[in-house]
Amino acid sequence: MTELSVDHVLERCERYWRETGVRDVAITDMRRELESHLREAVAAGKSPAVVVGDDIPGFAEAWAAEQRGPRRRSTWNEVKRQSRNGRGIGVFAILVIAVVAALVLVGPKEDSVDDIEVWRWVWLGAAVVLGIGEMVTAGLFMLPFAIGAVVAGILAFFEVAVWAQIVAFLAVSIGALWGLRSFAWREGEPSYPVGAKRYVDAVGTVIEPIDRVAGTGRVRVETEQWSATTDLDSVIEANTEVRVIDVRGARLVVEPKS
Amino acid sequence: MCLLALIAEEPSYGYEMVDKLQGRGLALVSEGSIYPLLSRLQKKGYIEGYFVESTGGPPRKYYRIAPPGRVRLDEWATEWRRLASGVEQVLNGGGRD
Repeated sequence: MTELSVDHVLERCERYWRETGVRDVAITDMRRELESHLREAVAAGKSPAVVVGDDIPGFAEAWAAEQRGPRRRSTWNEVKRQSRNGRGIGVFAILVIAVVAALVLVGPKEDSVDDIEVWRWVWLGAAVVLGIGEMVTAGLFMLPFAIGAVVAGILAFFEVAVWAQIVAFLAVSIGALWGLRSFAWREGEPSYPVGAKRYVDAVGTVIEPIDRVAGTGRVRVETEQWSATTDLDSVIEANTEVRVIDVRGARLVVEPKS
Repeated sequence: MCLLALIAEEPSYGYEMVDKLQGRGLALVSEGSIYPLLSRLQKKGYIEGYFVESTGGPPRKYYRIAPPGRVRLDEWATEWRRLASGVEQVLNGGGRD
């Protein structure tokens, strides 16, 4: 097990919590509690690594998930993984180009010029129709076939045999379908800011004191007035600048901006 | 349930709870898993947390049981005793048929 210092563990956990959208109030609380635990463990002769284990993000996530529910923001690890997905697509594209180039240069040629002419139009038409279809539908289903048709069309242009065009169309389409869909799947569902959710992270002004216990409070955000609540025990006075951290029912959950 | 029972005995903080649980033979309780559990119990309103200054280091977050926690602990204890007694009966009469 790697030897870790208390400060290093605290810094890594705090960074993870910030990156994944845990509220500042909860981060402060968790950090204090973790620091107290780690210092006590060290005093008793235990290393911080024994407390948190090898998987610091896993440790941090288990705790954070209880505070803020499932993760909403990407961590730098996910960003890295997404760039790996991007690299996968790049490798696939290079592979396709290499195969197309090989077929053009040394692949079987089509004897019938008429057939080639027909197939050029077939692939061109298919690429256009599928491309338009992709634009008007959702789900990344037609795009892979459009890519396949473009590749097959290129082969038709260079008079590569029709059977090789069809094989290339199928291979590229299936490869692109698998690659693009798994890429889209791993990207996760984008959280579109709709309804009141669009105000999360927005800054507003308290127009009626926010008292969690009494259940009172209103804020103005942009041009709209909203009922508001807070997770803090103290009352947030009128004219305080607040940041929206969540939406609960028809109320914005806020905390002082500072 | 064990955590709640410990906190019901007397207010306690994370590090101390791990020590107590391990001292009572529950060595499976990892130090990494106790805080998510405490957070969950707190969110459900079973326990309340508060910081207490410590002489030898940073402040400790103590937890005390809240009234809904006492009710839930009683329910859990009843369920557990019923289950344990059933298992005991099965073990005592097991393998005789």
